[in-house]
Amino acid sequence: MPPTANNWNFVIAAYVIAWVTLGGYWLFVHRAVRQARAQYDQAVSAAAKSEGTSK
Amino acid sequence: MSTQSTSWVPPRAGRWPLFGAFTILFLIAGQVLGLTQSPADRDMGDLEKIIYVHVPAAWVMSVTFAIVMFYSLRYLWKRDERDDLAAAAAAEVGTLLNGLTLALGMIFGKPTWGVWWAWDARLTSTLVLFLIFIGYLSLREFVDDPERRAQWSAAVGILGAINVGIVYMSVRWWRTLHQMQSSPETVDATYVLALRVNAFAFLFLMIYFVRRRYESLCLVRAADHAAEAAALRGA
Repeated sequence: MPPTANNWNFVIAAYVIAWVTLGGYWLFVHRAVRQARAQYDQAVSAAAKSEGTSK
Repeated sequence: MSTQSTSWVPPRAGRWPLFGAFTILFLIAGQVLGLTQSPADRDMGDLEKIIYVHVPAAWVMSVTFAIVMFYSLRYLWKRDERDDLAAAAAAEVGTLLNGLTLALGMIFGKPTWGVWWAWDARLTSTLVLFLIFIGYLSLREFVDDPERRAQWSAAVGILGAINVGIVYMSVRWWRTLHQMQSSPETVDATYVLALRVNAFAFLFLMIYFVRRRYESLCLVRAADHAAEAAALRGA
């Protein structure tokens, strides 16, 4: 098939892959930040409690 | 004795979500511009539209690995674990862009070269780069000691980033199926604007991803430090 033939299926496949990859990573990053923030808040409040009891 | 710093406060989200929203809008504008405003190429036909995702992904991948090198060197110099986390965040994003570059290149290659893959110097060196950084990310999963993990990661990160130079020069050093590097001088003016807008959109997206990933890695490490400190007080 010459490159100048109708190759829109390849173009669409490229854009779908690009958007699914970047969109999927976007969701992953946001979930990772949310979970990390919750983990940090929990650890800090537990540390504050233990500091209070050790005094 | 550990040289890792344990007294830092993790970064806050600040205005980064706003920057992320701007980036998405900029990326959509760039993609629409590329898809609707650039005419079909004389030789490649509509396939030229793939350059608006393939080329920015490849360019920004190189920038991302340069960030890995910078923070890896800085870690080895200053031994601040935040530099290790910044390098790790950039390595993850760079690997994503590297994989995307390879996948989009294969889609581009099939109709233009007639094959999905060729063991050509540019393609092979890009695959080697991808495998090095898959190794980097695996290493981080398997080494538990943070200091040792940071040192080994820095070494692999620097070696991997050096390979970016080989990827870039491969089309000059060896006879390849892949075309030579493009620049605004070698690309027709009709395509330059969309290519520039998409290159900046990918650059902004990379910065956003690296910053947010760095934030999450810092939060997890800071949580570990807080838990360790609480355990020591309790002991």
